[in-house]
Amino acid sequence: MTHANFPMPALPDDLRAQGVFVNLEGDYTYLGDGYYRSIEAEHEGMLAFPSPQAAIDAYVVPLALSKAQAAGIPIPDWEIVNDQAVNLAPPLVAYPINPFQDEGILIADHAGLTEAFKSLTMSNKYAVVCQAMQADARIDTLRLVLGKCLKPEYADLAEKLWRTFHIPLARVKIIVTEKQHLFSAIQPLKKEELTQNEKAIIKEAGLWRA
Amino acid sequence: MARLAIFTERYTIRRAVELTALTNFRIAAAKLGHDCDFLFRSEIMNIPRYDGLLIRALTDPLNTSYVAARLAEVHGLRVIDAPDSIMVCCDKVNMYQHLMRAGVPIPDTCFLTEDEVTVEQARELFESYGRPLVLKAPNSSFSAYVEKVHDEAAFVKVGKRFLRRADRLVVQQYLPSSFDWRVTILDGKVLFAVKYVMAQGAWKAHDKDTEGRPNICEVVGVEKSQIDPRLIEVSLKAGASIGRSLYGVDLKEIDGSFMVIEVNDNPNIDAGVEDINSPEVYRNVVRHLAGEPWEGWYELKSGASA
Repeated sequence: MTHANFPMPALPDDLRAQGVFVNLEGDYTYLGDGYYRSIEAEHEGMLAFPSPQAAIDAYVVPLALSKAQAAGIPIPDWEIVNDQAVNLAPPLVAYPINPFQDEGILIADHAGLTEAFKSLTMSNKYAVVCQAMQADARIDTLRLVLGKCLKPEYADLAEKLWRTFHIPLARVKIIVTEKQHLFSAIQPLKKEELTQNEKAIIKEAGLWRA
Repeated sequence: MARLAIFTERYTIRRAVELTALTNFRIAAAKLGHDCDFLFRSEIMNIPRYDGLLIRALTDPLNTSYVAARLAEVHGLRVIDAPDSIMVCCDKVNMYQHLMRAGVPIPDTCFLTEDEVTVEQARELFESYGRPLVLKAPNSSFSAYVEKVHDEAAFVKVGKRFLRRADRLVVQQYLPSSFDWRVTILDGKVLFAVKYVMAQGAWKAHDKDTEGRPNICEVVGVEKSQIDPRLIEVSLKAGASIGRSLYGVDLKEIDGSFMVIEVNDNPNIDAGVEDINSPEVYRNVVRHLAGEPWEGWYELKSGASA
């Protein structure tokens, strides 16, 4: 069995350097305006953060899990399934793999599987990625701004997520267990949603444009 | 012996020509001494066990087929379609930008944001590109979400509708033709070429008649000796502008020159259709996946950028 290798350019020491484009749109969804800004920057010969491929790696949950695991970030047990014949037992977090949905669903027990899968698979058309949760685990959200998070307990993880995924602004779903923080998924965090303290992180990096 | 896999999905094997083609890949692998399994979605985690992966399913960067391709790549497999090629070809804005940057001849083309889809913009584009115009949603396939517009009102109406699918709209000069060339290439070599001859009254390969029924092109095989070298040159240049994966390059022949209409990843290889004059296509794809040498109809000269 080989190990996954996601080659990525190194983050520049100075994000303001010439030829570097830090995309602060915050929503890098495929075919969205933020995604196209990265594409346009690359076509102009700039090093874009995120690159279009990095954006897809981050938002497509099975790829994000693989990338996190390859970087040594703890992840939950997971599998890709076609229908509710899931090997993992609830409680589960399930995310769709299709171009039309991105929100995950927490499935507390077997009774919730049928309805959740009908929605996530769009009536058995698309696949779903399931992640195991312990009964006493909870989901938390880490707001990532240029590798920093205002919650002190996530400072190290935030830095590692930035170095792994190159996503300047993100909501990161974390499964919090008694012993670990497990990476679950990355979702958009639009620039307009930033708090004043989060904007200050961007200003400190010299990247703020009103 | 290489361990190969074909990732496919149930809708890919609905038609006999698709099922036969999949079987032909597997037979070719067996004859060449390789193992070849079919892989379905729930078996994606088995990908690292293989040496090469062929994607034969509808591709989209947000679909399972892309997950399969990307996982194969990061685990060091040879993979067709390469994920970066899926990413480029599934988005016509990105694809045309690659072609433009490489100087590949294409119809006059521009990209608009929602704010730019206006009557005034339409008027300017009709003046510069001619009438009608072709509007394309970036993530369309099989000619869906590709429409001709003849006036400013239709331009705005269709444009806004397509912008529900993406934040960019492709606007292109209309070039009428009775057929498109389809040149299928892999790793900078031509696998085969066919003609997609438009159906009666149709203007694109997958059109609809006035009652909304499919009006599909006829696929006509072409002998290697019938191919104009300039067609090959433009096709290979178009493919090279994107990568070295498997592409179906669609071209129009206009007054003796060739214009690229699209470069498609995951091109059709239907048994008895696209392979009509190139039964060796299955062996060649398998050889490529197995890392063995193979010869195409033509190939990029070594050292040529395209």
